[in-house]
Amino acid sequence: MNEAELIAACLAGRREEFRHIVYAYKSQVMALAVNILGNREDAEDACQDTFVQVYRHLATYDPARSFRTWIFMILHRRCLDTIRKKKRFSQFFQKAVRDSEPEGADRPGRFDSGGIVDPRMLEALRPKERAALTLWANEGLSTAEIAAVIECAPSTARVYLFHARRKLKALIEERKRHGTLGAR
Amino acid sequence: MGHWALVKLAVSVFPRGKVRDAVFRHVDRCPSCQARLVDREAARKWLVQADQLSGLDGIWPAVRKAMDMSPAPTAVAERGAAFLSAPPPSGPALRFLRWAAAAGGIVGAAALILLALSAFGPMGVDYAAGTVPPSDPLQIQSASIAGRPADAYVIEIPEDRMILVWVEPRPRKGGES
Repeated sequence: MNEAELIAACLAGRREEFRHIVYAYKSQVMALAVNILGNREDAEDACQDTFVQVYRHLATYDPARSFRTWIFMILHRRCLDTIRKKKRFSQFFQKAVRDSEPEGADRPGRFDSGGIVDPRMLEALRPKERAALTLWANEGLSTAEIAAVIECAPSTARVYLFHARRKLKALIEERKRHGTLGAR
Repeated sequence: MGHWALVKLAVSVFPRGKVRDAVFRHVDRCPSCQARLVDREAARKWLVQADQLSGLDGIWPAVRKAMDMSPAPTAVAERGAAFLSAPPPSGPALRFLRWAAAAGGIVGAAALILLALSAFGPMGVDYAAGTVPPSDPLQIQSASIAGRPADAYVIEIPEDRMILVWVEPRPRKGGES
């Protein structure tokens, strides 16, 4: 069964057919989520939420668009939601820690992502820049396709990609200067 | 100003339009600019790849479980279709809807006026001494770098609530900077 037939089958009420869609896209979706969020635990949650949303809104999918791009767009929204929620919690947590600590005590900087993505990249690149970079480098998407995923104008997507590539190059140069080669 | 600095500035300053497109056309062709941007292969080394991930077998059972608790996609579509195909309200229902819409519009407009007054009007404005009221554009009367006269450029980007100030030494006569 091809993609269109699988979608039609799901819409006809054959839920089990959705498994094939999950299996076809889970690795790509998960990799994008990990690269945006920086850690596996959050990425798995975002990935599961994304597939559930894809299933629920399958009837609204426009076949004129790329199905992959549509899934990535939903994932990107989930990832941004996750980052927003974590940021709010992080601010609350840090305030609580600050309030309970005596003046001058060592304070934690930021949450440990516990991640598998280099923390310096996470720190240097903004979430939309990480998304643009991943879609460009891993998925080979064009600027127009990246724009469709991150829901902005193609010229804006180009700016995100420009800054992502520029910042990552600067990181690599910095690593070279400090004598450590290789990303991970 | 180095040309890379100019490129970065132009990309940041011109959020859209022909100037930025021209800058990107330059970046695509310029070896010096390309050397400052990571290429695909190098970027991939920093990113997690789909084939590096294992242990994803738990995703489908979790999704399947959640699917059982959510309505089938056709049900969602049918609700939408039913809504779209429902006959338009008429009689008392239509009159009520018209009144409700008008009342909502009036309340919304009043709220907007109050909001605008509190933000810009005499109620909310309390400029601290020395601050510039927002209606006055930023002006730089004179600028100098290490005692030398300099030119200052002010670029306002209202949509980003950002003001960029660029100061550079004024070229000396004879082309020396």
